[in-house]
Amino acid sequence: MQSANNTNVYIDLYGMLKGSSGKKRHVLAVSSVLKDAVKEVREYLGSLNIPSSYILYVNDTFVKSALERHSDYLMSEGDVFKVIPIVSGG
Amino acid sequence: MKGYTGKILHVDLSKGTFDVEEPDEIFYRKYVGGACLGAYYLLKGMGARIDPFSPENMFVVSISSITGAPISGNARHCVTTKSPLTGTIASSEGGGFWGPELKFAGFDAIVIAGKAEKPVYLWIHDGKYELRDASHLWGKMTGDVQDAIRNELGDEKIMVAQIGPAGENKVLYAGIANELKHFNGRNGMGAVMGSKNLKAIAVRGTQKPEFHDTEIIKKMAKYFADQVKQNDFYSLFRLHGTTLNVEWNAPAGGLPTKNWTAGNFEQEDKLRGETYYKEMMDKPGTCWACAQQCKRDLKAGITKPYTIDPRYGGPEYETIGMCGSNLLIADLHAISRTNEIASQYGMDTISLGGTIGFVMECFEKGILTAEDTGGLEVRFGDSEALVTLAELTGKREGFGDLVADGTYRLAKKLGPEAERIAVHVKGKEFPAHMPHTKGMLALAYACNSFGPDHVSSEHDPCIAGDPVDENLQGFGFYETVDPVELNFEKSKLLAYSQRYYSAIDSFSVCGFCFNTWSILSLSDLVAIVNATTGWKYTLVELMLLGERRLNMMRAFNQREGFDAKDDMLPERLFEDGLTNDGPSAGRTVDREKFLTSRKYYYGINGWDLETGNPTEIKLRELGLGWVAELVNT
Repeated sequence: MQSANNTNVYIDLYGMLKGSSGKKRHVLAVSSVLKDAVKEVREYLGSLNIPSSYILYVNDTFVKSALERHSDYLMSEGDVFKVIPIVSGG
Repeated sequence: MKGYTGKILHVDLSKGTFDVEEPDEIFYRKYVGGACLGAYYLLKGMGARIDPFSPENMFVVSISSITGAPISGNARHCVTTKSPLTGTIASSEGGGFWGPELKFAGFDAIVIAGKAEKPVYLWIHDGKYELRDASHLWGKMTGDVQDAIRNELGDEKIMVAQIGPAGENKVLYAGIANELKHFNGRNGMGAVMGSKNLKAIAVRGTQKPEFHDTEIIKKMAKYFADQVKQNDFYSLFRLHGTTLNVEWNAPAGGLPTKNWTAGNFEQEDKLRGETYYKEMMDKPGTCWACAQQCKRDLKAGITKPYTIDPRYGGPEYETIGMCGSNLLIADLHAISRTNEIASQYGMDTISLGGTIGFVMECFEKGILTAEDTGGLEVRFGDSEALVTLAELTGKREGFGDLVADGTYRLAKKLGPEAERIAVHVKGKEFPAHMPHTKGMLALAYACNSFGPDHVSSEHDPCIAGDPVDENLQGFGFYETVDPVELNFEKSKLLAYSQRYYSAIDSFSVCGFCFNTWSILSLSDLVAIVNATTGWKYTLVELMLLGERRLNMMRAFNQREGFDAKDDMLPERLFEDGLTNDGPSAGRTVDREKFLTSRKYYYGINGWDLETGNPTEIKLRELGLGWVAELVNT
């Protein structure tokens, strides 16, 4: 059963993901368990029409790695998700 | 034969003679042009262990069937030679306007051997060619030379690819400029031209190439131009160009800072694309026929604190990284002035910034003092010192004479303490993307045939999305992988992506226009090849082409004595944890993972697992039996 959405996290958008508003930082109330929180963050990004190709970090750890190691990590107030566009090269 | 002129100009500078080769279509099908054709002529035309500054070093400038087709991304040309910086075969791609003009002037490539007795420039126009005296141009800046040649020949539309005083002075990372702000920047191509007394290659032509299907070309050109306007990413890329990399690399802690000791810079906000655009630009510049318009053109009227001529263009990300954050400099004006100096003298800003960063750390550690540098204090954060030293380097004057030889040679002179902090592979400085945050680049920088290069393969983020991008799924990458990780998947990503990047360079197209992450895909590239030539080219053939060129380079280097021992990273990357806070704090490259991944990379390529050299079977598989014989004799 999904845990209650009662932890406020930050979602920082980089590059063109900020969209026309130019707003970098968003706040979202998420479930307390990491794997549920990640799902909710992705859904929120979808609601902002952000295409699914981005790199997602939680507290500076690649989300997939964080889920592999600590899927039952309990979110804290002020945890930060970073959303970085995928660009291969420069 | 469609798409090509069918003519390759051979120039012997020692004798002052010319020959025009007209290869058959199968030859073009196999080697296509650009980087692959360059590698072919170098292997065919020169023996082993030639000094890069000797007349025996070959110098090839080449384009492809697509060059000059009126579609974005088709304005590039390739230069191939033996690099004086690395001692390996090397190629360098340049954009701008010169490549298409060579096609219109009637040639697919120029193969240059020998050395002129005195300075000359090569003038090619509508199928005719001659060597002209350049003694009056020697010592002059690129802007003055371009004006002089156009005046002398009476045509403002002549395109001039030239060396500046840095090439004449054989600065080991001297480059070649065209239109003053487009470059074959890396690997010291300009120094080789300088060693041949070849000041410039001027081209002008009215011979429009014949393409097989112009309707397809037009359709694709329109699609591309529409996407630049409609698509969020591409319209932002037009506005900010490669400077967007500051904002892409910094959040992961991957902005090269303070001679590669950190991945974040306190003042990185001052280097961001938005800041740059507001302070320094009016509108972006472009290459021939390109709607992407990603070039950084500076606005006119910048006079304080430096007067900067907008003709020389503005710094791209690599310059901002290597001459900015890497030196703890956040002053866009000083970085732009340094960029201008590099454009005037004809120098690679990546190697320049990398070497100066090394010098700054030597000062910090007391390895160098003002006594060694003729009184010039060269410290992190000092913009004046950067600008002064850049100019001294182009002139090979004072301490600049030592900086002109690059990090590796300077470190050797200074001793083991300096060598310990020198960041280079095969004598060449790193571009501004950190292997600490892009694990595969550790392997790419170590194993690339001409030293560290950021545009010879994908970067790790391409398989970090969830789901993995469709284009990469098409190459068999289905699982999301952490950008930092270095493992089998990354070895495979390097091997495969080097092949299509190599093909991109062999067709001399722009990777910002044709790529897995660009508006036009690799399938579109194949479609354009067929539209220009009438061939039935496939993606499979494209990958084989790329692999052919990679193996020719590897075989060339094998003959020079290079092997796995040279595919190695500097100790700093394995031992010195990054000093910044944040996501990359304390990070190093894992030595064991690197060595294991390197073996996987050799194996995936069909190379010897111990030496990294191509096997005879691999060479024969790619139609390079003649190369196997060369290497074995």
